[in-house]
Amino acid sequence: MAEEEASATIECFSLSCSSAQLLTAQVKLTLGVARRFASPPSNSHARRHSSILSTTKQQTMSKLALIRNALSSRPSHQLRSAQAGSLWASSHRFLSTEAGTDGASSGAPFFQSSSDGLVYGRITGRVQNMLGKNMLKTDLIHHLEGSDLSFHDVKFDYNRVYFLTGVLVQFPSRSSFENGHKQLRLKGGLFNLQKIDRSEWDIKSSYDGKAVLMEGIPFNATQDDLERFLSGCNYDSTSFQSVTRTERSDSDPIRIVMVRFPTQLDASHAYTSKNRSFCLNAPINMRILQ
Amino acid sequence: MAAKSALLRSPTFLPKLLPPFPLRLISTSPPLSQEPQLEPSPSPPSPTPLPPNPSTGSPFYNENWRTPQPTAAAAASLVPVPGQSTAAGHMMAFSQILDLSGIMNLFADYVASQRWNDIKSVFEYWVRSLDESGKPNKPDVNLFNHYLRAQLMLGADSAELLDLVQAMQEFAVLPNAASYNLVFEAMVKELESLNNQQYESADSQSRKTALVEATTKLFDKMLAEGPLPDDGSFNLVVGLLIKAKHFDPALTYLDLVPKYGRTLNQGVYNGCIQFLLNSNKPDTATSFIDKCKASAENKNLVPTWNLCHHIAEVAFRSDNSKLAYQSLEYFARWIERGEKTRPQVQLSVDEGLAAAALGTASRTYDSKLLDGSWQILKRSLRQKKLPNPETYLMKINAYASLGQVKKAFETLNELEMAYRDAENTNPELFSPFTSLHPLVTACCRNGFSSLDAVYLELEKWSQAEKPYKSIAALNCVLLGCANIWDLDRAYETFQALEKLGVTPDIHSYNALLYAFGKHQKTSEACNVFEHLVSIGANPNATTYSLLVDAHLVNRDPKSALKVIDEMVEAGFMPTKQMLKKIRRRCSRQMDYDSDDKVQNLARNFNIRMGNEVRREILFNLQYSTNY
Repeated sequence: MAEEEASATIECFSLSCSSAQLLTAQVKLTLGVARRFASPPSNSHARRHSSILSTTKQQTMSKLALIRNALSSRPSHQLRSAQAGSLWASSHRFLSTEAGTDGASSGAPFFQSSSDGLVYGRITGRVQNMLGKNMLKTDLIHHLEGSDLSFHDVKFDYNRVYFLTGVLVQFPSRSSFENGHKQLRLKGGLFNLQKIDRSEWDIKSSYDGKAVLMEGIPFNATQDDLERFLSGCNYDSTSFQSVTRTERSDSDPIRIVMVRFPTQLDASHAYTSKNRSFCLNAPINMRILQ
Repeated sequence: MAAKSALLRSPTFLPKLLPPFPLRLISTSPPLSQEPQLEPSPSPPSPTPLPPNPSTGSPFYNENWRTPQPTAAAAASLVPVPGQSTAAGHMMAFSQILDLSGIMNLFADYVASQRWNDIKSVFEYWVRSLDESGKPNKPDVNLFNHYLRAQLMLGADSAELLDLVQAMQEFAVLPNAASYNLVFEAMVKELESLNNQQYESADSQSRKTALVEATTKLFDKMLAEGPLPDDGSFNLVVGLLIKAKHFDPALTYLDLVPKYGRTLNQGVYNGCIQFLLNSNKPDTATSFIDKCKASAENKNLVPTWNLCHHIAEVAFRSDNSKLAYQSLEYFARWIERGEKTRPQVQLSVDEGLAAAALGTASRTYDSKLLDGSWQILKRSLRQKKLPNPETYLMKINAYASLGQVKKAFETLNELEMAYRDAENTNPELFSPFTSLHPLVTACCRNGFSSLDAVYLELEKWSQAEKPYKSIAALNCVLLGCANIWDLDRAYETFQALEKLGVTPDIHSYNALLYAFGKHQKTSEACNVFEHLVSIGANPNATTYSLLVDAHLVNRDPKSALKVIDEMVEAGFMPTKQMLKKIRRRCSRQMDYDSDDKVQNLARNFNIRMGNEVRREILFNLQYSTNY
């Protein structure tokens, strides 16, 4: 239902951009509708009546609700507009600022949709596909502040050689998705956000900060050597996975091993104490996978 | 002599520069040969030579400019001249009457409208025409540079331009840095076209090396004798060398930049840092950045945001704390810049990056980097969010490795205030055995003296106006005492907990158990265990492992196995280290029953025990008297 509201407001916008007269006509229509329903005390009347009407009328009714709210309860918006006399200018501005919140609340009962309003998005880096190598989940949540995300709403998407290619985010509602867009713009426009399907989200699993990547392991290191490297840390000894990666076209391949830990604190303890220590004469770089 | 040299040079000069038609058509007489003027016949033996030709400044002085010049009408009537419009003819005629400043203005217009052909033809014509005083027009450096620019835009080769620059000297005009810059530009253009070629042939490779050599030679010449290179020259040459991947000469020139007080432009700056990082020279990068910051002109240069990330990455990988600090400074400058622009852009540094910086600080013992990374973390979070507990732990680790115990405890205080009562905090967050272990080692660094100092400090803090009573901090002291095998102090500290007004938690009991177990006071250790069970504190995995250790120190594998059974009943899983220790004890004591039990346990819990080959090496040394 939030999406319908948003699309209704976007329609409204496009109309206004194209021809002002059309919108004034529409506003007159809605006002006429308002007058016809004489003095409806609350929004419930409007809703009952509109359930009989067609979907377009439903949208105008929702706009009606918005405009009624504009006229009755927000005189400050009218005062703010330069041409105070022009009704459609004030309502136009009202539609632009209040659409997300009011529309959701007033349109809730009759715009039921199957999912519970979750919107999925994918964040990628804008320049050279670079997302920070050291980005944590909390960093991303802080970047998108105001979108009401929790730790489990973010999944990092790594490719086969554990290079971060994108981040999948589950937004609780459409408005928080829009807010995410706004926040990304505000924070320097370094990332792109695009909408994805739910199926992509469901497929991906997250390491949740409980896995650590060890880079630069010598090729002749056995599992025993790795366990000796990680001595003192509480890791899951069945979870070693080894991959080879070549950094750039002209450099040597390095061996990368991923190991899982039972809790996030264990992983970070291993990272703190063992990063850049030695396994068979080679210093090992470690990274925590989110 | 000058005349003679000019004379000899002029016939070759002419055809290259000009299409031959104007002169030939204008003068009806045959091309002027200079013979009538000078005779190479043996001159009379008069030793005094003639004074040099006073008319310098234009090679055309040697031509017979006393022939009447074509009038404007005649010039305009050169319509049948191929390839020239009447407009150009008009221009040429018009230009005849212009003097130097007039021609400069005209060329400025042409440059703005990019009429390179016009510039070229007008210049060539003007140079041949006479000025007001009847002498051939003499261009100056700027005019000549315009001409060079026109030639460059029309696609002249760098070699041709170089020849033209040398020809400038015949006009007694010294080329300045701008002229050479145009030559460099031509070289850069050529290199780029070579780089953009799809297939690298040996031919293009050799051409590239030839280009690079030519550039370096020219630049060296400029440095040695010619006009001093200006900003543009440095930028062009260094840029070219970087693109051609010849880094060593680039480095030498970069060193000269501050010496001559030149400014690098942004692109070249980025390129330099990029190649220094890619070629695995973080120290050179550090010194380059330092030099640029020291010079007044270059200190405002900041690499791009992504490049800053790359610098930080390289610094962390190679544990180079200076480079890491420089990258943090760049980040700070970017954040400031972002906040000053309108609309405001709130850039922020990832917390993960700050945590990695803290790690590097702890490994390289650099307190400046520690402070810097914490500051930039605070700046990036902008008070909207607290740092993660793991970041606090890394800061404690850094302070502990630096030996600044007091600051480490202050950080512990912050951590407790932030996260002690949070809902989903891991209880192991404040465990001195794992998370706060660096703090424990820092406490007992100098043995009992440092432990006493810490304890007294904590006592003072607990009695201050804002009392700081922290069981986690006292647990660290307790475990420190146990680590240095000081049982008495450990017990005293435990008893003092009550006096200080804190209740012991499971970690305190674990530390006490550890202290007793180490001294082979197994019965006391078991008493502690029963005591804590009777109070109602739940033993955790550490408790059981310490208890097993206590029994093993007492050389009692059977009791150890009993503890493991209890542990399994309580829902914990025995670890591989525990089972290996028991197995070793069994094999030393040849206790085969217990060994079987251990094997069963390992099989039940799917623990791959492995062998003891490396440990046995010491016992299997072959001593012999053979050499």
